[in-house]
Amino acid sequence: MIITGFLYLLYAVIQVIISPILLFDDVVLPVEFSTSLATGGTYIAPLDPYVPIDTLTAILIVLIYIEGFILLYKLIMWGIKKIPTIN
Amino acid sequence: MKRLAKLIPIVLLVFFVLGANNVKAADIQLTCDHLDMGGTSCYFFADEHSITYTETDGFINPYPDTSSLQFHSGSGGTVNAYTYPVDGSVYDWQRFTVGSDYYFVDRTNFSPAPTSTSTRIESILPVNGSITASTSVDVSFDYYVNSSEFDDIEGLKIKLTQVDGVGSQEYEFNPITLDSLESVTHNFTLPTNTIWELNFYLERDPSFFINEFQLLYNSRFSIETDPTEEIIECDITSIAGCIQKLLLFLFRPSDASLHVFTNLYSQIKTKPPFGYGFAIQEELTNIDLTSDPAYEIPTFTPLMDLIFTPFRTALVWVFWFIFLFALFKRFSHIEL
Repeated sequence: MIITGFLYLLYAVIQVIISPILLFDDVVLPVEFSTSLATGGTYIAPLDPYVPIDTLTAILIVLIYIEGFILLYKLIMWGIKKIPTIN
Repeated sequence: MKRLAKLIPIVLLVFFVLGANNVKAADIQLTCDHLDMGGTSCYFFADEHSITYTETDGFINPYPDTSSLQFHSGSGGTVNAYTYPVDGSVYDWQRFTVGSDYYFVDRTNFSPAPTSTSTRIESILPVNGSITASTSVDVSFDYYVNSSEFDDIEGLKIKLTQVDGVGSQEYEFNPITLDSLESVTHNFTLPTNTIWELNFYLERDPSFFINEFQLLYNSRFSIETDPTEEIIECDITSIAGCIQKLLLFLFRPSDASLHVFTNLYSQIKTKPPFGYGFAIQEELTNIDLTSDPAYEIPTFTPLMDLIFTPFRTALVWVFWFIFLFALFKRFSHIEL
């Protein structure tokens, strides 16, 4: 009951925080972006026997996530610091 | 108070991550009749990406009939539909995408053109899972590989990787039978209360193909809570049972309270700024290194075997080491 209540409370708080985000439209990447990546893939594919492209791709994805998390952390901290008495 | 405030974003991030592993599913009705495929039976296979776990499969017999497949709400998937005549000799194949925002899983390397009758790989989620100390899981699947189209196939490998831990198990079917529909099963013994990712690999001759193992299919499943959990009765002669039940009531979170966080993930997955990250990651994952190359670099097999392939393997470690070093430098100079 205690943990359950805490989880629901946390969920409610997060819902309030993210509610402005939900007003945005869904993200749709430009078709040109996908096409560019596909075209790029055809250019780097012949290199795959010599260079592990899939490893580089995986590292790039992890980097994007890490930088995204750092950015998000900074954004949340920036918002928290706007609360009076917290600096 | 300031220290507490600093913990808030970390808690939020942790729950976003936790929510990513448990996404609610939505039923989608599919009717074999709409595909106008004919045949005596109809298989539907729905694939989703490895980010979230996969629900599959609908088996319809006789045709026409309707099957229900589960998809994650807000995400996407591709349905592969097959007809399966009695004699097992002809396989008509058709693939379509459900919903406009559903991504496309590229399986062209082992799925033939719609009119072709060559290759078929089907996978069925593990069945059985109800033993006390560990869980017996049978991974069963059918395969049909046409030797004229794929003469460099050496075997099939199934690998289970623990998502919520570090365990992994694998089994290889090698050699495999070509030009014949084969049904194979392998039993894994897995610990309870764990989440696993199931991967099927096609093992191809490395002299013909770049990767020795080519990922065919993956899905995610979880081993449920041990059903034999011992609950002591609360009785006047068994106070321990009463204390146990009291503690469970007070501190064990309900399933519903845990699942609400799965909604968060599905809600923000497509919304900016998070949606851009997920979309870019999906696009990067979809880069197909086996597609038609823009140019070709001639390869000489002995040189590849002696020099370039080992060098490439070493590069994998080098790249990850460089990444870890860069990560260390990044976090050692981070300013939050």
